[in-house]
Amino acid sequence: MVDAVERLVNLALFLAAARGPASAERVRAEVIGYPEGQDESAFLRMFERDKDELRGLGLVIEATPDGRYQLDAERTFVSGLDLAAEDEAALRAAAAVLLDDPSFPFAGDLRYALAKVSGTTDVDVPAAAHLADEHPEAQGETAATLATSAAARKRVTFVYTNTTGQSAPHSVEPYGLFLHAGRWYLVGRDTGRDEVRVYAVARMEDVTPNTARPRSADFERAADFDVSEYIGLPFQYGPGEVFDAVVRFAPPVTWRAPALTGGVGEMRSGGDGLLWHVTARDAAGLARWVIAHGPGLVIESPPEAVNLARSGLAGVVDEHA
Amino acid sequence: MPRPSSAEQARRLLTLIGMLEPGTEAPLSELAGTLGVSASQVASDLEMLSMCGIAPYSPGDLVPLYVEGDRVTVYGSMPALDRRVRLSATEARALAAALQAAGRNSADALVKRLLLAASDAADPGEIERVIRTAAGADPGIHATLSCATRRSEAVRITYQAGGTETLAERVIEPRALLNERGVWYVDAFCRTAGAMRTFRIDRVADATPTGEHFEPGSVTVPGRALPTEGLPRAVVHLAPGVEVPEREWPGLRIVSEDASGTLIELPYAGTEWIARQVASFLGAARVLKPAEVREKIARLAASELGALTVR
Repeated sequence: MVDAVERLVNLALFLAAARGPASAERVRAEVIGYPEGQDESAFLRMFERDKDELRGLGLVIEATPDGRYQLDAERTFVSGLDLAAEDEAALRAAAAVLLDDPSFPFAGDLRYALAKVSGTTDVDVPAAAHLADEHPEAQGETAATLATSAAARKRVTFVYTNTTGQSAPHSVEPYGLFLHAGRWYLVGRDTGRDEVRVYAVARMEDVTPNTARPRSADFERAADFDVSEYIGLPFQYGPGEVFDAVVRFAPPVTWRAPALTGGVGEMRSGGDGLLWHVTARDAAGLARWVIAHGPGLVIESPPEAVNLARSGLAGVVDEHA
Repeated sequence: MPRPSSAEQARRLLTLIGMLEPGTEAPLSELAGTLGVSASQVASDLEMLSMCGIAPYSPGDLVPLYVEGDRVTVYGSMPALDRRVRLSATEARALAAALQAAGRNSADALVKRLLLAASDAADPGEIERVIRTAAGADPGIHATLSCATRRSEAVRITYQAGGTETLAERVIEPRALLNERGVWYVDAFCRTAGAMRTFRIDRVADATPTGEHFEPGSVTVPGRALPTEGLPRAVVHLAPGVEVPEREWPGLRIVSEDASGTLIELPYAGTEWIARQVASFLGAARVLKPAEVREKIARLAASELGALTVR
């Protein structure tokens, strides 16, 4: 009996070699691997699954109006992708290094992507990556599960332990994932609370995708959803009310503003340096962040945050005098 | 449907077809490294591949390869699929997410080019709206430093050291690149300092190859960007209720914990870093010793206070 793998490869070779569309009957007759004596409906189900499998691997298999099948060569094969040596080096230094990082959730797919576009996955630069620092393997595996569920629009359930140590079950429609400061985060609609929330992947346990009706989506994501809108800075989280803040970047450090702020808030030129307009929920947290990322950053408003920074710094001077 | 491992094997076999050109003679270990499996697995894959083909499955219609010892030889043309297959949607997502980590977003020319090699199902903008890895490093500076590391070429950088407002020029010999918590660092011999140093790439304002090459010697990629072994330690007291910042303060050790607060030992490479960290706690953290750190904190806090006062 021919192995299922051999059958899939034979089918791929057959479709790529065929001149013109081929009927299912011809596939059955010419592709080694479909069991002899198999009844028609069983064969058609197996053929259907095999086509889906090959489509998942990048082959574009089309059905013709008369019910035959053919490979769309133009949409299946790469053409004109010859990378310059510099691009090749940049690609390998930036991407291949993540193959050995257990916290990168897409290492398996990345390996095949690099094999296809570059022909190798070698990293010819001494390099290493540790994107996530807490339980990197667990975070990588969970983030991969969540990304698959997000792509298939399947709900997930998990037990979540919040920052106060309380654990509770959640059912969430996963919309997207982001990595921030060494942690993966999920953005999704909590169906119990009917609101979009951000969850730290490291705080999840028993993550279980909904396996019922795997071919149909459980939900639709808003067309204008953008996960970057949920990437916040530490002072933007917490139970406090949202307020507007302004932080000045002095001229010597304005060049670092985009990297430091990560695109959060809005930069405006304001006389001496740049004025960063940003929302916050935690005035003390804002003051802490500004001091930690200085020098050259000064809180301009609100007065509450300025006063907190002033009194706090005066205390620091006294304590260390 | 084939079992997941069968699907994975089919994927490997189809990828191998695209990699094996007529006349290829390659060690199995090389293919194994590229596919992330053992050499014996590749041998088994190639054996199966050599039995695949198209009707009528005569010898000339099969995949033309044989394995001898630890090498594979391709003695003819593939019966079909002899061109590279486009990236699947999940492969495109993986590539885009990986390149994001080096600061390359969907508008980046290299990303655009690579994703032209993806199937219709892969939309770079859509990938970016759903997956974000950490970014921050300038992709051009990252590329310059990675190229220079590969070529053992010295680079002139303008760098803003932690705790300073000014940019300073240095010439470095880059030895290794390291990504930690989404932040890229370059480990380099700094000619200006005459010693090995670690530079955060997002603090490099400019990087220009000098054209001068150096002898790299044996390079070991550091396990961590900021190793703490052998560094001096400060004794810090955290007020009651203050969460110990274990992730932000690498290498800290809790000495005692009671109702009066938490006492920790914190390694530090430079007084500027530890002073700024402690000052940012706005009085909830206090350094007990050494004196040089206490003095630095007092000066730094006074300076920050001055900047607030003169507004």
